[in-house]
Amino acid sequence: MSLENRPLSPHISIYKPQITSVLSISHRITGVVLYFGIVFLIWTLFAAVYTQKGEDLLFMILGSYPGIIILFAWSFCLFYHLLNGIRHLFWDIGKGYELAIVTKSGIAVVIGAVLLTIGCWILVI
Amino acid sequence: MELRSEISKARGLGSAKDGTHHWIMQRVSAIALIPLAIWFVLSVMKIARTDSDYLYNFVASPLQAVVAILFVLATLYHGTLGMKVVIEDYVHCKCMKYGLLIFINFLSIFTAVGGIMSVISLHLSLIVAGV
Repeated sequence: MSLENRPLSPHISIYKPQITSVLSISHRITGVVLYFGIVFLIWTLFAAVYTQKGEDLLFMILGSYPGIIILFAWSFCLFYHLLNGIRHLFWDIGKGYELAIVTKSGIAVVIGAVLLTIGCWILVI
Repeated sequence: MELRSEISKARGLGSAKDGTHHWIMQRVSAIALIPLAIWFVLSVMKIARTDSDYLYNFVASPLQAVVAILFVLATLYHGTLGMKVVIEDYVHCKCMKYGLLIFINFLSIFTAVGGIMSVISLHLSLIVAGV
């Protein structure tokens, strides 16, 4: 049987999601989202700097509901990835591996990201 | 006695010796991005909250232009390194994997140059207009 058709034991479907695994994959997902988002943002800014149509597009995005919602979601990704990234850097110097600390820092990262997102948006709107 | 076979060496199998550098640079660019991302958020917030005078002074400021370019470079570099491991983890078809890796690298370099061009041209046009 080929590599693609061989039978596999269930893994994702049977393993209980935990704060460790969920935060880890979220770090990766937010990273990917941030990458494509920043690419789109930079090109939109580029168009806005050089053409009138680009500037209109930028303000149209900033003035529309879907635009603001996507920007809000992207900013949450930014804050989450930033805070979880700092958590990762502590692991890299060897600190914070005890399970209790992993759980507490994980909760702190999620709450911090929510607070930062809401806080910054309140200050802007 | 060497454990590697001659055919494995001829085929180029085994470690590419690139992993440690990637790991280190991912962390170094992350460290750079902590202040840069904070700068980015604060700048966007301030620009959104204040009038066009502040925007003018912001883009005309050479320090802000430098930090903006650094932010573009660090973000796209860090992001490219991240996308590299994501692609290597999930894409197994060889041509798709290498094609995507090359595409992401080109996209990042392309976007970085676009971002730098925007910052410089906006900055210079405002410097010129100010004079």
